[in-house]
Amino acid sequence: MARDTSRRDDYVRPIRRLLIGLLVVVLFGVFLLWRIDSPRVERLRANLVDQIVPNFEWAMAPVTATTNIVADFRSYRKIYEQNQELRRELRQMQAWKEAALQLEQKNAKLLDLNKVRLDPKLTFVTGVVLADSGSPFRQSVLLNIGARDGIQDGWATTDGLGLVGRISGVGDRTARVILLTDSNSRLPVTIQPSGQRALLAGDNSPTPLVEFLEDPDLVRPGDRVVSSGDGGVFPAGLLIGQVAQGPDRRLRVRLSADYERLEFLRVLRSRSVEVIDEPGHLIGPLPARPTAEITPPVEPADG
Amino acid sequence: MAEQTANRPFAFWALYAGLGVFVIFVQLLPLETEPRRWAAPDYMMCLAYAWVLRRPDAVPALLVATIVLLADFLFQRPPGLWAAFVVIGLEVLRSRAIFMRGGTFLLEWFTVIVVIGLVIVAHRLGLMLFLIEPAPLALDASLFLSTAFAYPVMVAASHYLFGVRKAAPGEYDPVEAR
Repeated sequence: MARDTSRRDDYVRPIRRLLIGLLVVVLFGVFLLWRIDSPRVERLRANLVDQIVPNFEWAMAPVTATTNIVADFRSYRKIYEQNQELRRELRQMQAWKEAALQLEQKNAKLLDLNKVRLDPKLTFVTGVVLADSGSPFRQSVLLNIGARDGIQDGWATTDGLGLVGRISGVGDRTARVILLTDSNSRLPVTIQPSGQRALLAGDNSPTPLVEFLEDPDLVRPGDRVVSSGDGGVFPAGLLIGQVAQGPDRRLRVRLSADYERLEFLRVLRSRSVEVIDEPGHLIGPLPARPTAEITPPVEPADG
Repeated sequence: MAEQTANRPFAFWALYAGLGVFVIFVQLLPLETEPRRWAAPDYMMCLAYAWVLRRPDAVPALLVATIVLLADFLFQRPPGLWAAFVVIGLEVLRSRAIFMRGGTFLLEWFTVIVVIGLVIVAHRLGLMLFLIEPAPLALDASLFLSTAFAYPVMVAASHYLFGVRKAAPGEYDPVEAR
């Protein structure tokens, strides 16, 4: 028996080693394939996520809800102070609301006088956050809406107030949102009162960096940051956040969206933007259109 | 006895796969959508290394590769690279398992820490080689530290909860099992 097993070891070992080698080669092959033909493998990934994660939904929703309730419960201790604070804020808000209403009426009147045509209202699809990226190296969330609901890659996502990210990767039932805080996220923005253009670059921290700013002297902490619509990435004018200065004196953006609680997200349906791609012609009378009267089609005479 | 030893690896395989799916599920829960400054330990790597030094038959390479590759795909990592290095580390430890059976825990821990460190460094180098921007150094460093410190916990949990214990010499050796 002992001899038997040792002889079996003799040929099992090399075969085993060969198989392990093969396995490692296959794994490296998957990685290489991903590096070479990223879109295809990413589509595979989206499909895989689409197949697997919605099956967890029944368990995910209650567990997430329970954990959040526990977190909420902890905050009950401070409820009195919070209440006072909220009252104060509410009073301020009422003053602001009054001001906003007056401004809105004034704005509507002025727009009417000027015959300005605004963007048609953006419509949106609301989705529930199913899962996050699962690792601290990537900042993204998974929504429970996908190609089935007409979601397309590149659409903007907000939490109702501020921009959260963009759709990147759509499965049939799920869609992934790359958050603005992800280190791969770059977004053209406008900084409001000065109208400076810049690029918002995520760096895996809660406050993304402002890069490629033309004149930093014109920008103050507290300025509003909105999407600029450059490059046709997003519709212009979506609220993103406020400029803040980090301890390293670099300008960052404090995001308006509540990243601590991403539960429901709105995916804005962007209509395809008309592109003007040819220069204008010389101004002159329009060339006469060839009409049927000028060149009547020659019809073969009926025999 | 012979029947038990023949059956038990399957139970361990199922347990490992189940724990893998559970860990993936928990990490996918959208509890923290803010960026974190530190990385949680890679539980599946830790668990596989802890088991392979105790019961080498409990964690076949194919099973570990499947689970880690699934995690690669679901966690938005470059698929395959991390899994490949984890499997290489697993096989290195497997070849050492026989020599470490009688050693102290400190020696084992040290060996595993070295292997984990090499796996993380190799993964980082692999990413750089293929011109993919690797994660911030602090994140990888915290991944290394947390995984290293999770290892004794995993060993204790495997020992007391899952019954993955170091086999006494000859307990499951097929030669002696007669």
